[in-house]
Amino acid sequence: MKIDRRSFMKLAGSGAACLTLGQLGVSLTPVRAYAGDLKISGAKEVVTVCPFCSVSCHIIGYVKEGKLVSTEGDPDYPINEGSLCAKGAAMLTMTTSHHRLQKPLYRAPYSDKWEEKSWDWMLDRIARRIKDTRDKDLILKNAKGDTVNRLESMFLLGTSHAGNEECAIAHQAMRGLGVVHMDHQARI
Amino acid sequence: MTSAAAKKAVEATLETIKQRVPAYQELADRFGPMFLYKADLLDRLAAMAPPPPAVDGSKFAAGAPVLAGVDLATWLPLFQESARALLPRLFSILRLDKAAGEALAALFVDPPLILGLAQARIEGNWKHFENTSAQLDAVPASVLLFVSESVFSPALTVIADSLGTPLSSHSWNQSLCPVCGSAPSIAFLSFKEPNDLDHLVSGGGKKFLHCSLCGHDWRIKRNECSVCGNDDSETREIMTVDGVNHERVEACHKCGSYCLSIDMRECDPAPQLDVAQIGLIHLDMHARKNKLTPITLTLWNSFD
Repeated sequence: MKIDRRSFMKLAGSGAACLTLGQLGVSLTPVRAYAGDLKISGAKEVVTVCPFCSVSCHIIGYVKEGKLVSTEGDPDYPINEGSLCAKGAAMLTMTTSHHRLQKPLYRAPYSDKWEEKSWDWMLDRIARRIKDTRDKDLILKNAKGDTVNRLESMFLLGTSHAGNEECAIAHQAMRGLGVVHMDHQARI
Repeated sequence: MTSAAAKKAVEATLETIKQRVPAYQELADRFGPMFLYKADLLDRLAAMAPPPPAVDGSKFAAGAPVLAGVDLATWLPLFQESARALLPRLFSILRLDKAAGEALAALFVDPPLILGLAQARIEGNWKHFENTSAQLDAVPASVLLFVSESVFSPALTVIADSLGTPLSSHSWNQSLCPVCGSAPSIAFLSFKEPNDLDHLVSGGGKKFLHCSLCGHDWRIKRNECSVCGNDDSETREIMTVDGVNHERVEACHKCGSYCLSIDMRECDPAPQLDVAQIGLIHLDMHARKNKLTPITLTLWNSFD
């Protein structure tokens, strides 16, 4: 007897006439009344990848009406087999916490207050600081006179939230500026 | 599982069902004893069981369950003992009339007829039940099938339990029971597993299917439909009663089927899965209302 999915569907779908509760004289009126009062809703079960480190544990996310409502480790993924570290286990709060920043905030030097700024202002400011730092600190040649074009006063910390392509672009941008000090969040 | 442990699990599950939803009281009171009688039989059947059938690795790997093509005569004494103990009680629970009871009682003392029904059930030969029913006259095929399954089930449970370790050394990723080839009646997500690493949140949540006939549980991929293998999250849906997330309808809108499942990580004590289905009829009703078909037709999801 060889059974594959096709024959399973055939077997399950064409089963013999099954005995019913109605045939046995069972009244389902109380159960129907109970069922009628219940609020039943559906969620999608989506497998995704934990963004926090390069182990890339799989996570199952439950999405209800477009919103993530719970997460758990994927037991079928051979690396984590359903387990998660503290960061991965906090995946839901990372996406839903009210503490999560949703707008750019700026704190001026020596200030004790955060100010809300636009993305345009923020990006211009970052670009300005990078340009100024590079103009001031770029090392063109080393002690032996070799050309190095090295910028040692800036540091890039990569994030596991970035995909391979984003990482490649960030890496090339930093190399283009002469940045030599780079590391990744996963090593912290 | 011993009779004592099985009875304890059945009693606890029935009690939980009744306490939680009084609407299930009548069903639990009427059909609960059937599960207790079955549990009571397990020790007796295990004591008289012959050695378990050998697992043929190549046949198994090709998708044939352990009992496919096996001569069931070896287990005839178990079937007979099960019939002797259960039939009078089943007749009472099902409220069968005298003629039907007598016809069934006569059928289940005839070894070739018992073996014929057992073989037909394992092979999914429903025609055999229709033909036998036609000969009996007083017993509809649906009643004959239900009674046969109830009689064979404890014996097959003992066979499945006796396989134990030999079976776990083989891989099986199909939706039919690796022991008896029956369809599953319910799924469950496994308990949390202890681990030795303080910094990890324990896993668990592995998906298992529970055989509708022999009660064997086997692991299956969680992220796909158990009927058609669909793993597209857009066409699969997990439905739950708001606030009761551990009892789920796992629906596949691609093939139009559903399977109930229980998340054991939220259950203490663990429910007896055959009994638990009595208390989940509201989920079956919801699925049926959404034009979904159960993975297996059982008494608990067949209403009219």
